[in-house]
Parts: sequence; C-alpha cells; structure tokens
Amino acid sequence: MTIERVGKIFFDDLGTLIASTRWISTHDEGIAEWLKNTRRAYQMDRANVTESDRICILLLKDSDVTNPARIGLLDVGGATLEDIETWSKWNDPNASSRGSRMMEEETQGNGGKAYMYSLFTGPSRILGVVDGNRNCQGFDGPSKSLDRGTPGFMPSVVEGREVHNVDCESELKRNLLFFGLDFTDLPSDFRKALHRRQRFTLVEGENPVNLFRGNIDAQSLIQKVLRHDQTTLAIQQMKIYAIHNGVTLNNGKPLELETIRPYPGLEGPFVFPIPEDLVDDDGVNQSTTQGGTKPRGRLILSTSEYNMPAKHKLLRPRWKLSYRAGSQMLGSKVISEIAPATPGAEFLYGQVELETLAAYAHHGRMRPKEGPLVQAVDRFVTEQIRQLAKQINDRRRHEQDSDELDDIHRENKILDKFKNKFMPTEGFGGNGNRGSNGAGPEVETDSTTPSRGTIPHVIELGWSPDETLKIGSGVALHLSTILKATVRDEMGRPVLGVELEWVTNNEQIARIDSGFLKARHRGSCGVFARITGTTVRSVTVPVEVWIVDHVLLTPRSLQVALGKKETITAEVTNDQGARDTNVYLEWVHDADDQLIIRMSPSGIVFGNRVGRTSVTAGASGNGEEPLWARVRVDVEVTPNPEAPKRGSGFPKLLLTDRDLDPLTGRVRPGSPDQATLWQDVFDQQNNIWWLNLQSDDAAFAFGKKPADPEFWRMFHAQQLIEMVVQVHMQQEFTSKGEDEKPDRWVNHKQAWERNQIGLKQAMWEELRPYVETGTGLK
Amino acid sequence: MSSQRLNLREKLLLAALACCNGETGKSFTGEDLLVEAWKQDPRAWGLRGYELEHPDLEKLRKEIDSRGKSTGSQSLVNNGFLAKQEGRIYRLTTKGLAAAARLRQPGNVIDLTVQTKVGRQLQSSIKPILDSPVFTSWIKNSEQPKLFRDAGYFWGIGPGSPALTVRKRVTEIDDVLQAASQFLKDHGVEAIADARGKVLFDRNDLERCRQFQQALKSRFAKELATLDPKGLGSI
Repeated sequence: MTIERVGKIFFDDLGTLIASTRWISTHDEGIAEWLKNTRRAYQMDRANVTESDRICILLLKDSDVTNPARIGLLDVGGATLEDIETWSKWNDPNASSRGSRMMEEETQGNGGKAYMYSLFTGPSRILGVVDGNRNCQGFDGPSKSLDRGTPGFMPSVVEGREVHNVDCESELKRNLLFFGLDFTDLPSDFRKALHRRQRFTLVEGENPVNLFRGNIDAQSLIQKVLRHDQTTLAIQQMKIYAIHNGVTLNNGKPLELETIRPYPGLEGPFVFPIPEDLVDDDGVNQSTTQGGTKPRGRLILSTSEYNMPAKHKLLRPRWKLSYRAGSQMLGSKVISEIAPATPGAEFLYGQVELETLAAYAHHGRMRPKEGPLVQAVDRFVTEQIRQLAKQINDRRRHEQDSDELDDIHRENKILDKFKNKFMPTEGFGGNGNRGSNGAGPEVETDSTTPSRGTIPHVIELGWSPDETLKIGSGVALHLSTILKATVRDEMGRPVLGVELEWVTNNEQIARIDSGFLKARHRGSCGVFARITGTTVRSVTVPVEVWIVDHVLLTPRSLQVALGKKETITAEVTNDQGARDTNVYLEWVHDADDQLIIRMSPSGIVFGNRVGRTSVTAGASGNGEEPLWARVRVDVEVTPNPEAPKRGSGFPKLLLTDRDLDPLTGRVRPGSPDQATLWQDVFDQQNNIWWLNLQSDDAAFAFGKKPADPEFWRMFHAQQLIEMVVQVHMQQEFTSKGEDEKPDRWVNHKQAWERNQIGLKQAMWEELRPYVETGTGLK
Repeated sequence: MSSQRLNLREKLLLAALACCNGETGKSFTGEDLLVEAWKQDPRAWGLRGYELEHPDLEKLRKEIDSRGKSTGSQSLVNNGFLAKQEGRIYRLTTKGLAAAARLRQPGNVIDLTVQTKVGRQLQSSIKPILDSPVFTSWIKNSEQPKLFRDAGYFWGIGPGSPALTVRKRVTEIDDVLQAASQFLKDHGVEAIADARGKVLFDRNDLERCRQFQQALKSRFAKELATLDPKGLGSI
C-alpha cells in the first residue's frame, strides 16, 4: 500500500481537551493527583526536598459573602519557570519525570491540570516561588471551553512570569488571605520547612463544582482522598495537613488513614511470595518475573476485626486489593470481584506488589488493565484469599452442644405450632413445605377436604409401587422427602403430626437411620412406612442399590436464574454395565459459599444466590471407594430480572443445624453471615423462616441457655413474635397485588408498629408463663 | 524441530498450525500458508531451480484443493483437515488441529501449549454434543429421538439443506469424535484435563457420543440418504 501525506495529524482541540480531562470527575480524584504530583516533585531528581521537610497542606475554604469557595494544595517544592512551562503542556507523560531515569511513580501528564480545568468554575492556577522568583500560570474562562483549557500567565506575562525579588513568606501570606489564613495559622513544622527552603508551590482553584451551598464536606472529602489508591505513596512519604476554614483538621496532626484493627487471632499481615510462574484463565503459564529479569513479587493480605463491606462508611471503601508495580500504583479491585461468594473474605483486604505489572497501568489508574498476567495473579490471589477466609470463617462458627440443640428443637416445634393461631386468616393455602409458586417438594393436601382427620387409616405415598427407587451405594436419602408420605383417615382427610417409622426388609442392602435410607450393598430390598403401635402401613416400595462404575453428567454448563431451578441429568453406569438416569446420588459443589445453589438428590439445581460453582455427583464404587463424575458441570446463577415470586405455603419457623431443608432433604447449617431470622430466596418462596443459631445474638443466647434457660426462652419468644409480625407485614403489603408500590418509610413504620403492638400483646400473654417456666403452651 | 520425514501434506498441516497458532477459529490465506510452509522447508515448497528464493504456489494448490482429481487420494480440504471459508481463505479444523499436533515432537514448551490448545478445542467441539437436549433425551430413553426433525436439530440440518452441507455437518461430528479418541490413545490416558487439572472430557464421554451419533445415523439412514444420496446415502 502506498500513501502520500500532505499534512500533519489534526485533532479537534476542544474534543481532545475534553477527552483528556473527563476521567477526573470528583474532587478526591483531583486532589489525589495533586498529592501525587507533590510527592513526585519532592524527589531527589526534582526539588530534592529533605525527608523532614516533605510536608504539604491541603487548604479548604467554604464560600462566604465576599469570597467563593476555594481548594488548594501548598507545598515547599517551589515550582520553577521550567516546571510551570512544562505544566502548561497537555498530555505530556514526561511532565513529572522531565527525562529523569529515576524509577519513579509515573503521573498521567494531565491529572492535576485536568482537575483544575474540569472541576472549578473560577480561575485555577499554579504559583511557584523559588529563590526570589515568582511564576504563575493557570486557567480561566467558561467551563468546558477551549479558552479555559488554554493556560496563560496570571495575571499577565509581566506580572506572572519570572518576577524577581519576591519575598517568599510575604508572597505566601498574601495568597493565604484568600483562604482566610495567616502565616501563623500554618503548622509549625511547615513554617520551619518554608523558612529553611524559602520556596513554595501553591496549586488552587476557585469555585469548586458540585458543592452544596458552597460548603465543602471536609471530613468526607479527606477520607476519600486518603483512601484513594493514588494517594497511597503520598501518605507514606509526606506529612499531609488539612486546614478547613482556618481550622487544622485531625487536631492539628498530619492526616493518616484510620488503623484497621485486625481479626483477633489472625492478626497478620500475611505475606505470600508470588511464584515465578502462574497459570492464567486459559491454562497458559505466565512468568511473573519476565523470565527472571524482574524481581519476584508478593501478596500482602491483612485482616479486619469487622465485616468490611458491612461498615459502609469507614471500611467498605478499603475492602479492596490494590496493585503496585514498584513505585507505580495501578489501581485496585474490590475483594468481592477477586473472590466472589467467599464467606470470610469480608474480613480481608490487601495489596499485590509485582514489578512486572507495570505494563498493565491504565489511564486514570483506577484498576490495572485486563490481561493474561493480571488474570494469573488474580487466580493466585483468589486462592490465598479463599484459604485465609476459610480460617476466619471456621473461627466464626459457634460450637453447639448437641443435647441443648435437641432441647431447643423440641421447644421450637411447640412455639411453631403455637404461633399458628396468630397467623393471618387468609392467604395461606399451602402446607409449610411448598407454596403455590414455590419450588420445594410437594406434599399435597386435598383442597376438596377442608377439615383434618385425627385417626390414621392409611399412609399414601407420592411414589408408584411399580417404580423402583434406585440409589447409589453409600448414598443417604430422606425418605419422607423422596417418597412424599401422607397419612389420611378413613374419610381421606389428612392427619397431621403423625410420626412415621420407616422400615426396610433387608438391612444388609439398605438401612434406616433417623428417617434416612442409607444404601449399603448391591442388591434389592423394599421399604415401607408404618405408624408405631398400629397396623397402618404403606405399600412397599422396591429399592435397588447400585454400585456405581461411572457417572456422566449433562449438560456440561448450566445457567440458572436466581430463584429458578434447572435439572442436571446424571447417567449412571453400574458395575454390571447397566445404565440409568434415575439413580439417586450424592451431589456436591465446590463454591466456598455453599448457599449459591441448593441441590436435590435427583439433580435439581435451585439458583439461590448469584455466583458460579461446579457440580459433581457420585456414590460408592467397587470397594466402597467414593466414585464421582469425572467431568463436572459448571453452574452459573444469574440475576433474575423478575422478582422471585413469594410462595403461599403456611409459614413455618425452622431451626438451623437441626431441621431439614425441604429442597435438599438435609439439615440446614446456620451461618454467622446471615440474619437471625433468615430467609433465602427459596425460603421466601416457601414461607420458611430459619432461626439462625450461628448468628451472633442467637449464639450468645444459646450459650447462656444451660445456666439461664429463661434468657434463651425470652430470646426465642422474641424471634417468634418478630417472625409473626413479618408474616403479617408481608400479607398486608403483598395482598395489594399490582397496587403495591414504593411507599414512604413512615407508612411502613406505622404498619410495623401497629402489627407489633397488636400481636405482641396477644402473644406475650401466653408466652410469658412459657418463658418463666418452660411450660404452659398448648 | 525437523520435518524431514514428513510428506508434503503433513508438512502443510504443520504450516497451517503455525499460521493459526493452534486456534481453529483463526483463518489464513493460501499465500500465508505457502510462505509459512516454504519458510519451514524451502526445498519442499520452493519453485524449481529457485527453491531458496521463491515459493511455488502450484504445489500448494495441488495439496490443498486438487490432489483428489488426478490421484484419487483426497486433498486436505476434502479430507476435512482444512476448511475453506471463502476464496483462498482457510482455517484449520479440529480434526486438522489434532492431526497436526500429533505430528509435532512432544516435549518442548511449544508442543505442550499446542497439546493444551488441542485438548481445549476438542472439548469445545464435544461439549455441544453433550449439552444438546437431544443427547440428554437419548440417554434418558434410548428410543428418543423418534423424529428426524429432532436429529436434524442436533446436526443443524433440515429437509432443504444442500447435500454437501448435510454431509459436512454429519461427518464433522464423526471427525471430531475420532480425532478426540485418537488424541486419548496417543497420550495413553482416559481423560483430558486442562493445565489446572480440570477434566475436559473422558473416554466414556466419547463412547456415549459415538453411540449416540451411530444410533441417529442408523435410525435416520433413509432420511440422510434422501438428503445426500451421493455421500451419506452411498455409505
């Protein structure tokens, strides 16, 4: 291809200017850039400021009747004419280094200027006094205009360029007046540094944008500036003061990031050397040292005493992983992005230090560029976070006494029945397991027989006796969940609350333990249910136990919308070569957060939280060795634009660590990260509330129970009342159907109080003797 | 790596592998392929008398497109190793990639990377079979699918599909399964895993896919013969 060029490259000046400056959009970002420039100017290849004199002051002043608001940064570097002229050039990446070969933090060449151009409506300028010479350039003009972006000497070339015989302190005093300050208002160590150096630089702007009535929220602004990645080195290497309306903040002391108290017992920080070779997402090896030419990096993880994302103002902004390449800060990523759905990761934050990452610096340095090396490093970091998070999570779980758990399980059943008479009279057509729209196992009730029976006559199963229940060896199934037993009286009315006993006719093949059928050895047997002390029994269901030779799962990747379910088909090949897709297996997934999905023993996957995991299924193979599907299924739970429908099952209060989850047929473990009265998506659909015994307050009350059972009962009763109030609130607001719309908080509050007062009085009357004595509820 | 003992077609496959860097989605021109082959072995691909100075396009054409016409043996395109996209633009097929990877000497880093890519490529070709609802319905009940419409949905063909398309879609699956089985055999393993140890596919997967494909082909042999009388119908 040939080409004949007839001119230079052309850019539209205003378009280029706006494109170059729009990445600075807030004052904290702009001030962070100023601080970065000051830190760089203090280095030995520039102003060469001694360590004790590396001080700067952030000047903030609200508007008043005579003067507009103003933000400035004062340091003792002293901008020379060369500095000021270099400053006036847009998009100069060498602006801070001036060709120096010193390995130093790079600046954008635009950051400070972009801030002065975009986020002030009044004049903004840089003023330097060095060796009695004064220089001042700046911007002025309408916002977003080319005029404003064209720098000029202020107030004129004659008075702003290389003005001689200027007295440093007098000049500073004159400029401090605009901030309502006198020289003596400055911190003494700054005054001393200025006295020694006889030079200063002031960058400032008038009329900062986006202020409420001209007032600067100084505390909030300073916190944001201090937490900004680009400020990290500046805080470490300089004393930074802040003066707002004449008052030196932080009690006159230099600013510092608030200390994060570490997690007790895991104080850290934990330093992990980054291996020389890491594997990226495509399985390709990435050298972290550029083939040994750069030093090895390290990962530093620190712990926090508190759940960081939960402390919205103080800790949430610091819940991140920062990336640093030598003296370059490359930005950061939120920990939840690196290690999503990892219980315990809420207590971790950290920094990657790896020189090879310098090539991944991105404009604005908010986060490193994506690329194979960053992917590989992130994978390494994820693994370390997961391991450390697991340690934290293990420490957070409360040990519970089994006998005490049984005791409160019994109490909970009584309280759960007791609460039924305080339920709304309409709107619940279900049975406590599955709402009309729910996803749980269906325990059917006959809607044509409204009343309930009392004398059991027959046990009906939701399973055809012609159908064989095939189960992998070593797998345990909760029979009531799988076979769906219902007790009826002679009239066909359901009889509730009857305890069923499950029986197998060959314990060598399969054994019953606490309602679970445990498959033991290859062969066939039968199971049936009976009511102890009567002749009432169900039909016998044939059972076949398979020794699994191979499991093939399909599809290999599955997307499930939140609150929806999908099925994974498991084709089982047994040790005799027979194949079937209806064999019950053990299902597991490998996400740290086990609540991302719920799985039934037949392979139904319910999307419970947004996230990813990988699922496998298996049973015992020959020699009772566990045999899992070799190729796993990647499952992604995606956000669901439709709000999950709320079920209409009869509300139930269940107990974690004891009661069975109706979908999985397994005990629901409590979680310290969930509410005391806990409802996940699936639970909402099925009207189940869990009393979460791992929540801090429940665990505390539980711990008190042996010595002070009254204390526990009080707590238990309060939770029950709370649940009943929630049921009434839900009933009241969801019954509005399409008329339901966002309402004022005060209206909700009034409804809440109305329900609480009415229900609490009625319930407490009967609960009080129970709390005092532990008896009295019918 | 020496390619002295390879025949011209094998040398061309290796050149195609270098052109696409092991990515089956990456296309290249006939000229790219010729220059790469010539760089790897100028004596084999050079113009007679000027072997070191100029490549010979005629030799390339013969191996890629027209070999079958005179000798009866099939060209790289007809054999399914290369796919012709348009004009003289080609890409390596999964079968071609697996065959090319087999020609390389194992042991060096480049070959390991290629092997990894082949494994991933084979997996991405096999996964749609395993993810297909038609396959799932077949493993649940081997009498399914009963209608050609469902099998056609799986193969991506219909009553109006041209014979060549029908043949290509059906034989592509056979090729992939054969290439994957050969890959397992060459490596003497039961399953292929990625660099992080995640199993991508195993022998049982391939066996079930092969049985499924065979079941469909024999169940709908009549329909396939109607759509492609000279190709699938003549088998």
